[in-house]
Amino acid sequence: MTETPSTLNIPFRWAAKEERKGEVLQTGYFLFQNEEGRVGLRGPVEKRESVLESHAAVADALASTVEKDSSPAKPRRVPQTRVLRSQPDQRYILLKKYEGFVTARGEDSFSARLFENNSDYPVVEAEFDLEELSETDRELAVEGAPLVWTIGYAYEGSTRRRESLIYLRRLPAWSSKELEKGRSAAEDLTRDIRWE
Amino acid sequence: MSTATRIPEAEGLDVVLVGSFNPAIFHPEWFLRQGLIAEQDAKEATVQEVSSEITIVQMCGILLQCVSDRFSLGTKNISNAERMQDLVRQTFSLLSHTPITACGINPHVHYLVGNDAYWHKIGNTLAPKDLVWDGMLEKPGMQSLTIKAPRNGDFPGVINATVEPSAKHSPGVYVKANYHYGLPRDAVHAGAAELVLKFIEAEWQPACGMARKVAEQIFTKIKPDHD
Repeated sequence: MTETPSTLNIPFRWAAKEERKGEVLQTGYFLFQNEEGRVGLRGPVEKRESVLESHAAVADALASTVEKDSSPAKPRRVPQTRVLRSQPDQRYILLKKYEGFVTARGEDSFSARLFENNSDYPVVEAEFDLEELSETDRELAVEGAPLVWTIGYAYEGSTRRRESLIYLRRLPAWSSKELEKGRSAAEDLTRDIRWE
Repeated sequence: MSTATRIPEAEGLDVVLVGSFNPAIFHPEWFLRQGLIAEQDAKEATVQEVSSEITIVQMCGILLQCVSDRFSLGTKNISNAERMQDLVRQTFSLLSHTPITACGINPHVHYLVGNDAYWHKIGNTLAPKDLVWDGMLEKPGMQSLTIKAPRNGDFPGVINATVEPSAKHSPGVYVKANYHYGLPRDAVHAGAAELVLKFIEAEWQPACGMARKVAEQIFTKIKPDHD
């Protein structure tokens, strides 16, 4: 394999790019394949007077030669470019990840049932202090709440620290369509049960 | 080194939506008012730009970028993956009429490979030089290799798997995958967001694991010479 800085192209995109008919846009990256490039922007609206004011000498010179335009000043946009880096420089090494849900909540702690993947058996039961959660997340730790527990190394410059993070998921509320579908599936199941 | 103990040096994830978006809406304040992030997250968010043309915001360890035809969430801290999934699902549950034409779930990983000999062996096995390149070019080396394969199922699309030398960890390998789903043309203006959210929910696990899976396959099939 080789490792050399690329001089293949200068990545540049217009922010509001006109879509060409039939063009299939890729979803492999946001704007720049190599995470960095320039975006072209239309820029803020500038009135003609303000531009002329800032170039007073040029305006004076022009005034003597160019006939005065009586039409209202047209606003115009000055194109700009901006460097865009599509990823901040972060580094994290994931060691373990469990998904699960809260099974019970006490005054100072909560219990959760956790698994590494769908085929993981037996599942792990764990108890956590509520203090492990941020103040805003504590109210989310109710029975049935889905959560993710990750253990890994986080980097800050050359410093590496071990991190244990509990994230209580914020999933969208069930839609009425989904609730109806669930209700109907439950009814079908109940109907199919043959009691002996 | 066995495959089971090989842990990535760095791992990240991007979700890219293609369609028609209004970048100006995606301000941390909007996410806070919709209850998608906590007040502290909104306070700590970094706003580079929020305008009608482009939005670049960093919040909860996730970088949000949006232009008129693309929306993307990305992180280099893989422990944020589920937070990112929740954010995209909640956002487009609220903006349910957004026309979306495609969605990509794109994981990426960096691995150290131990020594230069093994690093070259991986490159030479994936892209042999002897048949075409040796003799024509001096010291030919693999810079990037992308394999594209169709994906069937409820959400048919393609998988693009790319292997490159790692630019951050030397000698190392960088693997990225693009789990692409192009929406049917008739769905773009009729329930596209709903369909994309179903795709994300159903395919999230296999998509997020694809880069690791490709890397593990490489390390299983191509062994260092001293093994």
